[in-house]
Amino acid sequence: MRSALEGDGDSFGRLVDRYALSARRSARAILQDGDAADDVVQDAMISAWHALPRFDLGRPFRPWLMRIVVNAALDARRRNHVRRAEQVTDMMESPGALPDHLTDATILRVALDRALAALPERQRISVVLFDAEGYGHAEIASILNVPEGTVRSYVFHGRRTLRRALASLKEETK
Amino acid sequence: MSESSPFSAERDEELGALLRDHLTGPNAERFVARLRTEPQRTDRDDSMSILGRWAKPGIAVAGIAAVALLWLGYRSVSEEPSQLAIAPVSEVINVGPNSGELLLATMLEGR
Repeated sequence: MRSALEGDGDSFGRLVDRYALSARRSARAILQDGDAADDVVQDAMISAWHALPRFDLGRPFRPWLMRIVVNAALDARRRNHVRRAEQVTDMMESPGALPDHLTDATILRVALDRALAALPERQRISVVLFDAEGYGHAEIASILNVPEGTVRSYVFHGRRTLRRALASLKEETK
Repeated sequence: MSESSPFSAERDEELGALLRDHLTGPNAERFVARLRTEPQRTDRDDSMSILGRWAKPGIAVAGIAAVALLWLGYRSVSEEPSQLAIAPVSEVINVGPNSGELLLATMLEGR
């Protein structure tokens, strides 16, 4: 960590190896657009590389990096809101029964896409950071700059919506 | 995937695994490899050196502009009013050798 801070590219590369996919998943959860998410993560990593000399070694690195990624993704989402909305409508406009010829994996993917798209942005990223990435409520609160109680509420409601969506999918495919 | 209270800090492992699988996306290794090399293409000192390169000419230009503005300000305050005030007098004085007679004749005609 210290050597990355002092400008050692290989050390920073190892940090990228460790956190890149977590960053990608979080950006994809916010943006729901794979290419845009990849661009955002790349920009965020470059920002982190440049900001690293100012990083306080006494603090945890993972939430610091994730805050950069999440803020970059939220900014990009605000900038591209109209474009993103157009792309998501393909999924959102046809929330009815899924076609019969789809495989179980595809059905699950489409159902998760729909369920995630239906969640408010903050609930979506909170559930992903908590259940998929293993962040604590306090860490997510510091990443999103909201009170910890609000994060608990986001996670609770977001999970409940996702669970119900997946449960109804199971019923449909029985 | 059972319902839990908002106060629970327990993770939903099944939901978490589903989300990880769903959101990781294709070509993960290629993505990580690209990400690994990209930040290092931009030298960390680049932004500071660019600012440094801009700083010297910027300060020089600002200095020249400040001197020019001060000079113009000084000119407008100290020179222009005195020229205006002096101008009519100098015109009268510099009309020619018989300017006094001409002035007198003009005054008598005016009477």
